[in-house]
Amino acid sequence: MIVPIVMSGYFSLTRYTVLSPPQWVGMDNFIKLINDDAFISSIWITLAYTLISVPLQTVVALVLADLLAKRFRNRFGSFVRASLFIPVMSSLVVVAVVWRALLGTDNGFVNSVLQAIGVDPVNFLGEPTLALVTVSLVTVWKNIGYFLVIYYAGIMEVPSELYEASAIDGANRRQQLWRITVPSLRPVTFLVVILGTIWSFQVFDLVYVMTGGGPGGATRTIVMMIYEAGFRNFQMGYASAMAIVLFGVILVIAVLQRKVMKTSVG
Amino acid sequence: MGTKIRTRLLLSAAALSATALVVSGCSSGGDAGAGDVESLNLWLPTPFGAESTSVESDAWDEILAPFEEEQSVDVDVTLIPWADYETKYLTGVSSDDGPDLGYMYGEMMGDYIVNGAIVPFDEYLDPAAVENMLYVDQGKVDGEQYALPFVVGGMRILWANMDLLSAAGVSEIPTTWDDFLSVSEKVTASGKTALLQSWGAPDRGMLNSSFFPLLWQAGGQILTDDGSKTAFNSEAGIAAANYLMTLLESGAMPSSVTGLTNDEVKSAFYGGETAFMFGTDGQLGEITDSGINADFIPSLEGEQRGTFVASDSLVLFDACPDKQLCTDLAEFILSGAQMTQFHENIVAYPPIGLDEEGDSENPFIPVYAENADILHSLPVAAGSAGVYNSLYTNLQQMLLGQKTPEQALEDAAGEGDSSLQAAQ
Repeated sequence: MIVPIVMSGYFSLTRYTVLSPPQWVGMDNFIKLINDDAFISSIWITLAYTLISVPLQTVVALVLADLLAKRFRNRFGSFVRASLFIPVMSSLVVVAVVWRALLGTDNGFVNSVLQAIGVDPVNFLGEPTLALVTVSLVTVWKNIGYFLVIYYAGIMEVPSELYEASAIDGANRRQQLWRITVPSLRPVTFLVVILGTIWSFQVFDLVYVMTGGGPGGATRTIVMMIYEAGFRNFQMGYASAMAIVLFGVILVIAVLQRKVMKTSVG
Repeated sequence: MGTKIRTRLLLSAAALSATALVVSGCSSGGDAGAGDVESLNLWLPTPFGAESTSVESDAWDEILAPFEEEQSVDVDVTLIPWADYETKYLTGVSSDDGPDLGYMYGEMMGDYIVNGAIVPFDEYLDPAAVENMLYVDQGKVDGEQYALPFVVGGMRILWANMDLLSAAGVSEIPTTWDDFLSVSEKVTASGKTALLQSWGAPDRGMLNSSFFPLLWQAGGQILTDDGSKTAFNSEAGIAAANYLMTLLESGAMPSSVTGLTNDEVKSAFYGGETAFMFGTDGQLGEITDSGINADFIPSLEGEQRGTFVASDSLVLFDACPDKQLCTDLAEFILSGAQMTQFHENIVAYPPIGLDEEGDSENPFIPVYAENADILHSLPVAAGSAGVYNSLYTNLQQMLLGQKTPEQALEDAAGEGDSSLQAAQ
């Protein structure tokens, strides 16, 4: 793990086309980054993508896991859990291709249904804000099964006596979820949020296939920028500088989240 | 025909890079002797036009079999999907696991030339083979034969659904920018979509049909003649961008185009949902199968006529262990018998050699001959990929109403110039 990081660090200080040996340029790539509007924009886009997908997938996974653990601990529950896990096992590229087809403006399945009920077609991937929201929601759909399984396992570990005692005291299901399940699952939530955040910052395949970073750069995330710089524009040194910044951002977020969780648990 | 870019900087850098590679011991270390080579790696894109990659793979095996037998060498063909084409080349070549002979399109070549990864064919070419090649001059960069044209085809044309035009009271395909606008208005008034373009496509290739032809028709060009700067941020470029905006604002082109892919546009045209589509001659078969009554013209006329034609080539990699053998393989592939098989079994493009008759039933053969003077291909210049990516993003932003045509072209030119400068 150390070697790629060190190599990226070295390349970030060079002008490197991949096809010829790197040339030392010092901090030039980082200075260029600060003034690169497209890169700054990609940071905001990645943050927006993260802020839409992580809270949503965390909450939905928790609520579904609670529902399945409490009410559907039977064959139906197992079927639902297995069904929700299928997207997790599917290739991201396949997921992206399928959703791209489903969401097509002309003749896409979703728009055909909308038109059938009298709603005008929605340009899901052709409007900047909507495209970002759409990609984020597909991510939520893809990830929920994974986090649901983690939450489900966590809920099974919560002592049933807590629920029984609270029921005797008159707590309803919502109060049990909020007062017992959520506090008991804080370490699990920490893991889910950290993993979700890191995955969001690393998103590439889904965006690459669904929108290619468009329209007009509206879904161009940081990793998409890194790919374009390195593999399309032959600027691997510059791409490495972006990768180092991304690494730093993820590190800072992980440390901050850990601190917040510790404080919260304390 | 075609745009050839001469850049001294590019040549100097190529020489410097090649020297650096030799000095640092990164070169292939010279040619192996004849007969020492057991296999050659040939990289080609897929799909060209056959119904599947496996059909194309089988066709290539058949085409190359006589060469393998005659030279006692295995030709390992790697078929790479278009979507991964540039990435696969970059990672393959940089890890010394690339091809000996490969297929490249113009905008890919510049960076590889500058870095010495591909080398000229000149000293290995058989003069008789050169004489047979119709478009050999298009493969010259800085006076050297870096490329041997393999596909000169895929002309971008304006397809029209004649039934939809008739329903709108129009009997002929419009030929000028003004006519096109007025016919589009009639089609729109008849309740149909006039034009669809794939401005939601994940990659920039759609510019070849949807923007560059307009730029050439307005009298503009993509890069300066020496390839060192962008040239589209000009009066002609702004006229082309404004025309696109007029198509959008007049309703000839719906705002949903910013979310459409190539497949969606084709599907809509084949389904009779749109009157016009900027496509290629290679779509003739699909259009015939769709049963629509279609016709075409090669180009609209603005200040002049002009459209894109693919001019993709075979290139010789420095890593080839026997450059003479690799050149022989290129000459073999490009000779009449093999090209006839290629055009019959993989994709029906026009002949590229004197010794190929071509399909007499292909209606596009005379079209290429009659319109040779309006066909343009993309310039060869290091860093040009960055230019096209930036232009595509900025034009999307223009169509989304985020930028004016002037702003979009100015921003794209600024970013494009940086990319060209960085590469040189």
